[in-house]
Amino acid sequence: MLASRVSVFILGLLALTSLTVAADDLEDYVGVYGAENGQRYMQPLADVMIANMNGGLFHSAYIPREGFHFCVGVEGMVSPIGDDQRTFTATTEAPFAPEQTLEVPTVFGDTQGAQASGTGGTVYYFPGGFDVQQMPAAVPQLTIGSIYGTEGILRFTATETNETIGKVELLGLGARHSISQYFSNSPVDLAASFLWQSFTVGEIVDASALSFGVQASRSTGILTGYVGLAFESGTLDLDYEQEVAGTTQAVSYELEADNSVRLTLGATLDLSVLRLHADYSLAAQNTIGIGFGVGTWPRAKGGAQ
Amino acid sequence: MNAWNHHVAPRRSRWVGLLALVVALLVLSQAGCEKQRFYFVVDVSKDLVYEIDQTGAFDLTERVTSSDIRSALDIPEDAEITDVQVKSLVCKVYPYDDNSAPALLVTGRVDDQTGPLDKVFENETIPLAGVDVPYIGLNALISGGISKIRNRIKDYVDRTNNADFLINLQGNSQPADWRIHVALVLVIDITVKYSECLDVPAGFTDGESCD
Repeated sequence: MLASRVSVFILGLLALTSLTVAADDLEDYVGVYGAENGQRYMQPLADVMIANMNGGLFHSAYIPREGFHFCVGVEGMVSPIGDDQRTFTATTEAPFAPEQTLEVPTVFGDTQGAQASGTGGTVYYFPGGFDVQQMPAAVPQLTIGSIYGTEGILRFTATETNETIGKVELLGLGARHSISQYFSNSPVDLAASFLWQSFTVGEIVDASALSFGVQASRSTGILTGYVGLAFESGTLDLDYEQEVAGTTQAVSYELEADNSVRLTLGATLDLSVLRLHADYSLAAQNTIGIGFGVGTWPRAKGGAQ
Repeated sequence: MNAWNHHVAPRRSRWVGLLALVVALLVLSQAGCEKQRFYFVVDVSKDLVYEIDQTGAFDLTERVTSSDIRSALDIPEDAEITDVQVKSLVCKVYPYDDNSAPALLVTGRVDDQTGPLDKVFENETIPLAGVDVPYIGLNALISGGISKIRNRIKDYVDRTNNADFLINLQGNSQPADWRIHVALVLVIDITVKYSECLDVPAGFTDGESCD
């Protein structure tokens, strides 16, 4: 019997909402599917979740060579869900007969699901989805520096949910290094970055993401414009149980996120102790980023920042 | 550009920053949740074990009770059942060493206290020798019998009728009158569709409103 559906549907906006939502009710949605249908059902979630995880890393390319600065904030990301992410072609699974192929909802699709009629009036139900129009996520982030123009990035949250799901934990470690410090006449600030993240939800979900990128920014007064190019990857491992003909079977597979290259355009508003930013990332899975942070940070004397 | 000098923000700018932070926190706190209805599908199965130990024709019956089904069904208390269906019927066979029948020819029927109701399948050949599959699908099911099973189980789930029902198997070895000694497990796969209202972040999903 599949795990009972326990409702902590939202863990708040301080965790990776997208995966928490999915993991919470995961088994009751995807649990009727084996690996083949299950992967297609869940693939859009992997694409969106990894895209969200890799967002919000930077808000400026300016990193001082020396001196203490920090920023504690929340990075919010929203991924719009396209029509092509709402359905997939599924095939009924044995022992249901005869085999049939239908267009059915993904985890982001219509809530009602679909059904196929079989021999003697038997019925095969394809589960519905959450009818998601856009998928939000939010992560806490600490940035601290600088040593030789390098700052560290930490993302961390851990919460015990319940016996069924267990512990929800996010850990992200990264660093950014100023490139423009090596070019005295650079018209813009330049930086390079990497970020590794791990996100687990009990023993059901295990996701990881990796991002390497370069950024450029230039500021005028309290406004900074920035652009970034990143190469990224990510995987989402799922483990659950499926009941087939009275026997419980373990189902396990790895989903690889669609995103590989991301171009980010954004702006930061620097209001003394508060920093607000918004950006848009163009990639296979587009994302909108918005966030805020409080702390102390240096400013360039004008021109680039 | 080499600009590593700090710039000290004026006092007025700090107040603007703090005010903006308060506004941002207020907006976040108001974002909130809303209740929306989502539909779940859960599979439940019921195993009926028939021990056949004889030569030639057999006639055996196993009972299905409401508690069998309810105890196997794991859904939230506040869930609303929207449908119950039979997904499939399969057999699993476990021949004993002294079994000599190569196959069985079996007819299944659903009965209740009033007597025989409907056939579920008729003259299905179930191989006993050389079987290397986890189950044998029964693919020539009869809608009258499936409908009876489905209705009884739906009554159990809905708690509208708790009366037991029976599944009767009649048959013979194939070829007839060979020594049969086998445990035959008939598995009824049932799908229960239910809905439940869940808290979701406001504005991100288009589920039916529960308000």
